[in-house]
Amino acid sequence: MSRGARFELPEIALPSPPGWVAAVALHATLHLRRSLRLRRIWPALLLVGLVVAAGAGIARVSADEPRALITFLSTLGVRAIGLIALGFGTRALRADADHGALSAFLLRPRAAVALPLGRFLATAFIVMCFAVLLVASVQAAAFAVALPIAWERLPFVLVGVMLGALSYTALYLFFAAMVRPAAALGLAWLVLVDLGLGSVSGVLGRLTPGPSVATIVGFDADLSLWGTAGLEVWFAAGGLVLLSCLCVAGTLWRFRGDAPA
Amino acid sequence: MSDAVQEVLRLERCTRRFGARVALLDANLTLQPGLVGLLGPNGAGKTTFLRLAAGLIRPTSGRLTWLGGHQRWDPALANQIAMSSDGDQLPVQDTASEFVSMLLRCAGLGADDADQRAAHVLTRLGLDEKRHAPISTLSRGQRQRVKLAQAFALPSALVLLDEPLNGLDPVWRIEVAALMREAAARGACVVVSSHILEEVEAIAERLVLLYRGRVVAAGTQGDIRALLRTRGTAVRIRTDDPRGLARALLQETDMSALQFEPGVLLVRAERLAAVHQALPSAVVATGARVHQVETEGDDLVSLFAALGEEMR
Repeated sequence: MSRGARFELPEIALPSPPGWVAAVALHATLHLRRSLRLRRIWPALLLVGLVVAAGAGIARVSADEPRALITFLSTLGVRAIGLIALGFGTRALRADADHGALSAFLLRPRAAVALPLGRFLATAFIVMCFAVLLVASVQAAAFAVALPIAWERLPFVLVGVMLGALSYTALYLFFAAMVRPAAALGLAWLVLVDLGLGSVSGVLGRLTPGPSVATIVGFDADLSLWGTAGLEVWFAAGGLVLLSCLCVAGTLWRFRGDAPA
Repeated sequence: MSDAVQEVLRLERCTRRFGARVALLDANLTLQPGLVGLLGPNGAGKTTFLRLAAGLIRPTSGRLTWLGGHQRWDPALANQIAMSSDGDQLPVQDTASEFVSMLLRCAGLGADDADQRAAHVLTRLGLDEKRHAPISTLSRGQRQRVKLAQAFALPSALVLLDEPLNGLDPVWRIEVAALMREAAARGACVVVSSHILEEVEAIAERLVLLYRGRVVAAGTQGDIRALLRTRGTAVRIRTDDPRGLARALLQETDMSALQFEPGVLLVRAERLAAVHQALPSAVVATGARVHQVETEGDDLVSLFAALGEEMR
């Protein structure tokens, strides 16, 4: 604009606020659009590539043993999804909070609920897509190398990683709402609790997604879903849903108070 | 905003603590439409006041209402509060246009309307050529204007601006001041925080003074100037008859000390306002010619220093 000639701002009426559902959908779509840019997703793509390469390597050395690939997915694959969720989940809130731009969003109508909920849905969707991409790519790479696809196990693997994506996202979003160094806390949690204590302790195992996801992914499809092993799968799935709900509720509760800084 | 609404913000005994630290203490204040300057030294509680006024944080005790009694999450308040925060608080990977447009969409505008409005307001703030550039590539002044653009994008009733002139060159200071006046002219209450009196004086009609979390004064510029005069330490009068004027003043009011310099009478008193009131009749009584009257220590820094002494 030329400084000599002032541009007059056209008059505008104050818009009506969007409804609750529309506000959540709007925050979700806006966040989805912001997140799905190459400069923001390349670390996740790189991680998927590394896991796929590792999966292909496992398949090559354990030819004709599909169980090896399942074990690989339920250990390293699940944690890779945890890492992807850590990146997207903490970034969903911390990026704007750390820049101080979150307050501008929170001044908009319905934002205290719609913003965290919308961003959770968008982030969970992204992480689930990456989880499915990871499983599909690992299976495809393994098949290309030597290993046959265990189709009967695939539904459990997919349900497991999807629930894992959901619960990891909810957990890290909760961390991001509560503390400033959410990424560091999340990484420490992933290593110490998810991979370490949670794998050996039943109680801690319920507080973190990894062990439950491993239970679902590693379920032997030949067994009955209503037997003892099957019940464990149901408990694990229920635990993941409950953990997700509690984390989302905690995040929403946090936003009802002071705006996160 | 309805013409009937004259009370944009009301604070009743509002206190805000952060742990043991008191950021705002027992604030009682009512803000009406117009330009309001929020003054105070660093750490006085200006940002806390603005974040409370924006509803971003809640008071530890006390009550805040907006637009004649509405609570923060009342639907009637939707889009009525806008704020530009202090500091470099922008999503640096988005472009200016994306950021403003996104906020407008969250406010309820459709995608096309939001894009168009964002383009208009960014053009008004001189960013038409930079609006599609990532915010990370903008200069400090341009970033400040992006923050102001989102605050002025809608005709909100309460516009809160934390140090809005920081980083702006003199030309853009004038432009932004014009934008503030436009908003106030349409009935908004525009609150401008600063620690520089002259900066706010040139813009604001009313002033609110904060010191160590307390609202120590609020009123028109005249009210605050009067307060500063009463807080002054001495009145320096340049006259052709210092001694005659001193005799006449002594008959009118109490003074703690008189000091004579060539052509100058320096009066110290407990209540300087009384000296100012007595001066016209003393001048008439003596027939002395007075060339200049100035109060020493009547600047904002002196006031805050005096308040600090009182609070110890």
